[in-house]
Amino acid sequence: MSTESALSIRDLRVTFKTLLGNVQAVRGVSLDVQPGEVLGVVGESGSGKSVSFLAVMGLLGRNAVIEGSAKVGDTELVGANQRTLRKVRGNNVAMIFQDPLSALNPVHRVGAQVAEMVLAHHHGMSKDDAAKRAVELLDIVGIPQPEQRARQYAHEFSGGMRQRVMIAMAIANDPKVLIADEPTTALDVTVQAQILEVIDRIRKEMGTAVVLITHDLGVVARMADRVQVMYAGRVVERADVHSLFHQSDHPYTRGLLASQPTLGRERLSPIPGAPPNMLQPPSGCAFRVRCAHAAPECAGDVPELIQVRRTETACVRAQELEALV
Amino acid sequence: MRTSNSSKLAALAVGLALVVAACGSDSSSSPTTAGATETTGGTETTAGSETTAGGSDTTVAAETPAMKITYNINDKAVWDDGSPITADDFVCTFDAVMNTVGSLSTSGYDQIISVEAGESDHQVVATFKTVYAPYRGLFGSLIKKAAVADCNDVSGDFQTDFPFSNRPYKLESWDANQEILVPNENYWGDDKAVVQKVVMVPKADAETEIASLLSSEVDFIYPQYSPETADAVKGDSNVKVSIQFGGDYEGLYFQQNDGPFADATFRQAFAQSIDVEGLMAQVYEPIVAGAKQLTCGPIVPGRYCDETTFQNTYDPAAAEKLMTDAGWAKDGNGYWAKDGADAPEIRWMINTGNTRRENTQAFLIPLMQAAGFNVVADNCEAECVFQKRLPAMDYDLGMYISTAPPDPAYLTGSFTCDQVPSDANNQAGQNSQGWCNEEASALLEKADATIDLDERAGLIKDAIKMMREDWVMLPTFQFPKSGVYRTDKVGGPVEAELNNYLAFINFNQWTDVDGDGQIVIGAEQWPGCLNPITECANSSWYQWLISAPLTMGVYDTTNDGDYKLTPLMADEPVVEIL
Amino acid sequence: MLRFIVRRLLWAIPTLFIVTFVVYCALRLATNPLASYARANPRVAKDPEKMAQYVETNGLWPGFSGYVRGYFVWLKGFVTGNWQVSIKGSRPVWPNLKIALVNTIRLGLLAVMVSIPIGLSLGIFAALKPGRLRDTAVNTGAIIGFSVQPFISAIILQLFFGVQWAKWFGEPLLPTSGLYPPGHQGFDPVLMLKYMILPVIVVSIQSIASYSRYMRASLLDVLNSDYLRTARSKGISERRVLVKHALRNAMIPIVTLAALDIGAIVGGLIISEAVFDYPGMGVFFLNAQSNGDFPELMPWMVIITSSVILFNLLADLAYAWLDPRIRLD
Repeated sequence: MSTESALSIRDLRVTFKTLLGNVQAVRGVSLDVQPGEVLGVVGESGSGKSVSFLAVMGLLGRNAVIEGSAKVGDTELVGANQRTLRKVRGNNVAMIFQDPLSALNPVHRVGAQVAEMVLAHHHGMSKDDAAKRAVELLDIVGIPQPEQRARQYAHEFSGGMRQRVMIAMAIANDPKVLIADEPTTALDVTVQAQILEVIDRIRKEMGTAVVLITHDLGVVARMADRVQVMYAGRVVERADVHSLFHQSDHPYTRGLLASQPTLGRERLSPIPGAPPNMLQPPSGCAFRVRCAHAAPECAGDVPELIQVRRTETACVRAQELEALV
Repeated sequence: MRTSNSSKLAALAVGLALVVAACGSDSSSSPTTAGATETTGGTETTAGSETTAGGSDTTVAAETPAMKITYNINDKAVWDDGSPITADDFVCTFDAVMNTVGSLSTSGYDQIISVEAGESDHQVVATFKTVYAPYRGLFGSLIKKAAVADCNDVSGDFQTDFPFSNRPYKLESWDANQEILVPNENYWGDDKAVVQKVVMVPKADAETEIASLLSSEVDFIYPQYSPETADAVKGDSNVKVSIQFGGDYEGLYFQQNDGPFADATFRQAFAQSIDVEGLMAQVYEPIVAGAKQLTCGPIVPGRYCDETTFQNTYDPAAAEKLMTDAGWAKDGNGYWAKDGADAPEIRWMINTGNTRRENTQAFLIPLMQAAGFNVVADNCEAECVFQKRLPAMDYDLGMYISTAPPDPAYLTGSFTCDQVPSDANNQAGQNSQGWCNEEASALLEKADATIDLDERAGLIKDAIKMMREDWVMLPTFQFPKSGVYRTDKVGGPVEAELNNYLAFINFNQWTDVDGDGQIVIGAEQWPGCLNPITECANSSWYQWLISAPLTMGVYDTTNDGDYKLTPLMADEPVVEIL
Repeated sequence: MLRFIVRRLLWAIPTLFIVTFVVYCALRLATNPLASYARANPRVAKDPEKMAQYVETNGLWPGFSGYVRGYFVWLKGFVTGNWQVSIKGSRPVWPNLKIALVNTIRLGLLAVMVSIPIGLSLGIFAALKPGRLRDTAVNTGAIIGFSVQPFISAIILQLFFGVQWAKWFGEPLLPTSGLYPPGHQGFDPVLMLKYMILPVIVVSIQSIASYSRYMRASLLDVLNSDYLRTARSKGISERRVLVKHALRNAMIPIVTLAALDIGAIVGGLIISEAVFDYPGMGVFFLNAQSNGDFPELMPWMVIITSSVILFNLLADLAYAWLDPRIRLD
């Protein structure tokens, strides 16, 4: 892939050491995000999609072991010291989280929280200037009366407004990459659309690369340029958004699509079974235990991503299954 | 409680003056007399002072002088401000005791018709309506007329200060944390203060006292004696324990007003079946090595004690014969029974939690049962024992400590017929054994009106012999008092007066060995206030910390349980029977 | 805010009314002031006229209506400053109560000043590395410290610094009782401080234990919170994350707890004071209680109750001040 990637991850592995054993949350994820591009990362809870990016940001606990590589520009983040990570965090890479109420500090005014982000990477700036910049940012993300709102606390905001605050905070330093971890999950549908619009506007205006982590394929369809589907800590399928929705070759992706409510379809078909226990993930294709098309060979080597039709798919039977579509 | 009872009586009858009145009743409550602590768990008992002493209240009408005492005050005697001590102070003291609201017992004083100046203001004449033998207890301390607003009511005085002294020391300061005494420069006697400062500090209990003695915070303590005290200080060679035998004595008492001991034969046989020697070895020997039985009765060795009276009471063979002769026979359980009735049950009451008495029960009950007496332990809390059941004679066998004051008049209050609880004395009589022997009562009452000491002693001894013949009680042990002190901090005659009713009264003679300029005495009960007439004075520790160190009267008590004239007097008071 | 304070203070008045009335009834039942008075003044006790007079003066009528009337007699005297005099010694109550109160506040505040910084530091120290040796050490220490009753720690310390030290080196290292050495007169802060070392330690042990545990738990909560992750994602220094975000938030419940704790001090040191012969509210209470001294016990109770009510209010105010989510109106 191109060296101009805003974010480039290679073979990222995250293991949590717990009392019960090692949880292999991420087992070799690679991806690239280009400036101005939206990469959707899709998967069920526990598929490792959030963990991958928290690992990149260095925000996981002490019990997480991170291997592989994650580069922002020329800066390697895996194994980097705190100083390097701090320079990158909030500056080159910013993150917004799922629940903006708990993600905002309840006892600090929102303006101050945004200003703190500004100050963190503009050491010479005065507090007043930072505060002014915070108000500007709140204005940019579409918060009305930003000066007054800046003096309020998170609990005085609605959910959507809070997420706007989070976005304002995230874009404070014109980051190259914006990681949005389920940014709309906790919000009403109408508000969801507004937030997505804000993110899209930012991307367009600033040329920011956006990683959109979600389990909501609707959001992906609307926002993403490309999509990666994750299952059990691995990328199982990767494609541009149109191909994924129309020519997916991985049974899991198809299952996900079938479980999404779509206008006109009469019934939803959820994927049977539950995600695997990551203490001891199944050998071979981790999805085979839930897969309607599983065959003995699925238990063999871990399938690699290979180009099948218009998507890259990690399924040994992809070629055969193509016919079933 | 017995202790308080007798000591109340003591207070009443003896009436060792205002303060001493207090002392009497409070000796009951004092920590040194086991009874006190037992009775109310450390709180001071005041009950004693309420009782009517042997009929003294009833002689209101008789105003005919029966006795006159003339006191001559030493010309040199002055208060700490240099003003002379005169007859006025005696008059004031008398008025204060008799008229101040809420004061302690007036007994003795209520026998006085008048107190007046005699030929000079240094002579006092007290006229009595009866012959009052315990007169030495009167005017044990004095109130300075000039220091109080109204001698007839001193209850408002002494709020924060005790404003005078005629002793070697005077009060410099007193509060809830300490009392400081400094030398009285105007003291005229020979026993002037040795140390520049004496400090008394409150200690919560015996353990705290010992800890602060061991850490050299205090120099001297006066705890109730226990072998644990001696053990605790064993490791420190600079600490000395002095054990002395004072007025405290323990005994077994037979309630004979009703119940099984109303039968004289049964009572005698029971008493003769008690192995006192065995009891000494089993219970008292571990407390004091070489413990010997107290054999003179409800009194301690001294002028009034005949040590042969209670010797050799243990005679099981005689007891057996006595019972058999009287028609008693052992039933199926091995208990004496008579005339087809059930074997009588003997309820033995002690206060729970007293290890010594519980040990005594554990030792004696099996022996007595084997001897055919159905004894059962019937114990309750100290308050229940001493405030309720003892005064109500709701027991058969009792065991407790009493304190004998220097004057034996307390016997009159404890053992005469008048004092058996009855409606006539509002059930407040102190004779809770219910023993009524008219002859003995007459002897005791006569003794209180007999001035001659030897004659009086004879009467008392005779009365106590009757007590033995009637099996009223069995004395067991004269209980020790203890003074514990640091030899590296305090010296001189520290041990000389530990037996005294006024305890460490002679501390003005002690020396400051380590040269820190002061002697520190730990007090187990802190006097709550300073007034010598009101209830404040109702504790031994008040007596020891406030009144005895600050005021002197006609007589002081001595270490051997007697009285001696103080330097306040020019000569021995003249007693005239009219 | 001001409205809230005024309203709460106004509420405190009926609360105090009710509480003092209940306490009045309970104390009268428990101490029986008339009997205490009779016990203390045996000769008066025999004089029905004088006893009746005492009942009238002090409102000690029997029966429920008697209690109610008596309560108002007491209340009027209390509010107008005409306190009933003590039964023992017939003295004014306030001078001694004031001394006791000052002494206890001094001891309590010193203990708070020692135990809060130490307890919180230990809690932070432990929470920063949960599960590690230091955490285990602090936790174990806290459990031990918490379970050691004051009278046990007091006796151990007294034996060690007083008795045993005196045995080894001739004189005790630290004084074991009182406020000053026997015979001392006047005010001497340095000497007094020396005498307060052991009592302060004893009072502090349990406080340190509980503060460290509360602080650890509260800080761990905050450290695992989403907003702390947000703070870290900003790229600010770890120190700033801790101080500005974690501690500030973790302190909210602690401040409340501390306020309630301090409010309980005036009545809460009875055992420690007794063991050290420390002339404070506890010793005052024990003496008054053993004398059945109703006129001394009532003001004591009022002070204790008022303190608890007042510090409850302060705890609420502190909570509201620290946490903008709490609104006082």
